[in-house]
Amino acid sequence: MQQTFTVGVEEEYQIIDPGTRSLMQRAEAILSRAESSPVNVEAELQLSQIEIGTPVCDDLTQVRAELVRSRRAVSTAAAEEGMWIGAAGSHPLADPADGTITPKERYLGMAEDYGQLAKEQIVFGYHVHVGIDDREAAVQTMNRVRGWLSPMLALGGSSPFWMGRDTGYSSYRTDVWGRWPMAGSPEVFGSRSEYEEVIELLVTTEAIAEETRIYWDVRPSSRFNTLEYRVTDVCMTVDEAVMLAGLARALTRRCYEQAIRDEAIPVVRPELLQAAKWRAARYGLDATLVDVNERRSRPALQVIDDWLNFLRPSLEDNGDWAETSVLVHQAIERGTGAARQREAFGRGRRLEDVVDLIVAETGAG
Amino acid sequence: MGPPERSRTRDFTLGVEEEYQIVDPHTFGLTQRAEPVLSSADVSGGGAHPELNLSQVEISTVVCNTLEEVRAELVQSRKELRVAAEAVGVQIAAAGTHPFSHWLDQTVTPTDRYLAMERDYAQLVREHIVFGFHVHVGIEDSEAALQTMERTAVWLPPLIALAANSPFWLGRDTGFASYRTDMCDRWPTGGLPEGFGSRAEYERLVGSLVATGSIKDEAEIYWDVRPSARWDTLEFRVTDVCSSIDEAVMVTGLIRASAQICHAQVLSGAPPNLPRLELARAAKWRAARFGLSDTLIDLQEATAGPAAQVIEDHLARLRPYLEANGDWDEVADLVRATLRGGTGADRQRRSFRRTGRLEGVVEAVIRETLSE
Repeated sequence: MQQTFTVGVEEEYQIIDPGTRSLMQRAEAILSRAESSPVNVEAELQLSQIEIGTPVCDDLTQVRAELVRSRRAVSTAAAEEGMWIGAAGSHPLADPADGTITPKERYLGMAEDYGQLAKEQIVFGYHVHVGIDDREAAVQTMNRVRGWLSPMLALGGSSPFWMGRDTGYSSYRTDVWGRWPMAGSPEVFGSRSEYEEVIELLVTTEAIAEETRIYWDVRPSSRFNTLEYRVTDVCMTVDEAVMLAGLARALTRRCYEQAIRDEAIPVVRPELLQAAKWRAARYGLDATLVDVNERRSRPALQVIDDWLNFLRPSLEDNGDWAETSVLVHQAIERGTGAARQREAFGRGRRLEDVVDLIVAETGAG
Repeated sequence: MGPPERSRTRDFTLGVEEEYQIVDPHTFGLTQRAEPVLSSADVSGGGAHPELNLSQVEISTVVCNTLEEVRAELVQSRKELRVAAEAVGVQIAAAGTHPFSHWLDQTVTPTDRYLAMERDYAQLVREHIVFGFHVHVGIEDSEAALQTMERTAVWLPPLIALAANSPFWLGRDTGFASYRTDMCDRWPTGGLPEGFGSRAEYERLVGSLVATGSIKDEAEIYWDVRPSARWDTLEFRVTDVCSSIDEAVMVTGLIRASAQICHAQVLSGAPPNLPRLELARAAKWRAARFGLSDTLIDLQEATAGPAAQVIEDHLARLRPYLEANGDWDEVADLVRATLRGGTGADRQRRSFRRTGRLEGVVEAVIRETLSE
């Protein structure tokens, strides 16, 4: 079977009050406006959140076009209600005490089950689905991608501020998310059936209500024949989102091919994997990253460069090399979303300026 | 399992550490007075020590052989610390979180170690205003200690549920019985310990974590159970600090018996019955979320059941060791009293309902902390 590695992405956005720059609990207003548009818009856990999903795309050009179209449609619907839309992993002024859970059965059930975690879940993620038709191969691919997620996280950090303060993190969202019982790196599975047995075990012990409540950094989708990456913050710019989609797609292809050739799964201590992820969330591209395979730290840019070289054959096979490599270099030059937010804050010490930057970049297309 | 084997004399000694809140007796909020408390403190046993924040103080017991000694040590240390606290106009309170004092208002203790932690961990340190209970169980053979550690995961969730004592955070009910558990799991080196083929493998990992700049030294490993970097002990760090000494003694007795049963399995060469890690995490999380008020996951059977039943089954498995230690009557009574009367978290919620004020919760915690 010829794998084509299709791509579909989901972005979670902030709903912002243009007057105060704070979050607004107004998702339903935008949803009813957006209903008439051809864009797929959905509610999320909190009423200050809204999610878009693209159709299945064959290439990055299509991903870009769909993201531009979706952001525009949601921004327009929001503007008609006197609101703004922003794409960043956290909102600088968000306060968990002010959130409102979306009054739908699914979300009320989550709030009931997860307590404080659901209330604090005012963070915004980016999910990339990469198509793999063979369900066994999807799990074997997952086993091999888990050691390569921290460079992606470092490139995509866009949540430095939380509750009105600089957290010191590039992706503080990672930390907020990491607290969910079914979040974090997936374990290694011997087979698809072992994966399914574990899910079954979690459901029968009432550890999870259903398979969709697995929130690992990467998971086989419960709805589509895809491997779903959930590790990064939502990106401020479309360029960054396209870059991460290209990287996730190439990583999937590279590791899929390893799986098909039955190459050994790299043995990585989970503690080291966790440390690597934490470092990427803490410092983004500003310091060193942990190279889990080499068991040492190296300057972030070197790790990114090596990763890009590792992915290059797959990027080329996907036809994404030129665009993705340019976007990675551009991201390094411009700094991560987190770095740009800090610059905006540094200019006038006003978090409102950070919100303005987020909104401007979200809509820049 | 056969009857417990006789262990070497130094094995299964106990050392306990408790972290306390320093509270202003007028506002009932946390107050940054660790330094005056510590300078006026004359705490015997293992003494009193600073902790990460200036609103915290820690005591440790001497090495104990029996629960009776642990109890006497805790009574003495709490009493002596109270004298020191009152001398500078504050009180001490034992609970996993403070119900309303905000992390924004806390100050990191200005020692090199803690300031470096604040620099490295940033927001994680700022929010880490939690109070734990650590039990060191002596195991002389460091290889056996590591193999024992790996097997402890299945014994931890009932401990978390029984000791749960941190339902409130930033002025709100979190829904959790032990919200502190959730806070601790956020640390990059926190959470359940994984398995190691050998001590050498553990040391290689520590080496990798240090070499990659992930930790400064072994002391920055904060797993729920870890080999102590300083002593020949396995250190259990998984529970909230208990408000009452009875609960602290109960948890200590259960931890020692759990360490013994795991150690005996190691010596007998029994293959480890390790749960899937996803399920172990879920079991731990469920215990933290619901305490004894819902179902718990029994990791030994990979099933879920009513908390009281899961706890009784747990107790029955530990019984031979508790009996051999002479702890059965006391520990079983204390566990059953907790099943009947509820956890510290349940009592905090009752105090809140009764007084309608979170200050009333703190007042009740102080009272329990100081009663023998």
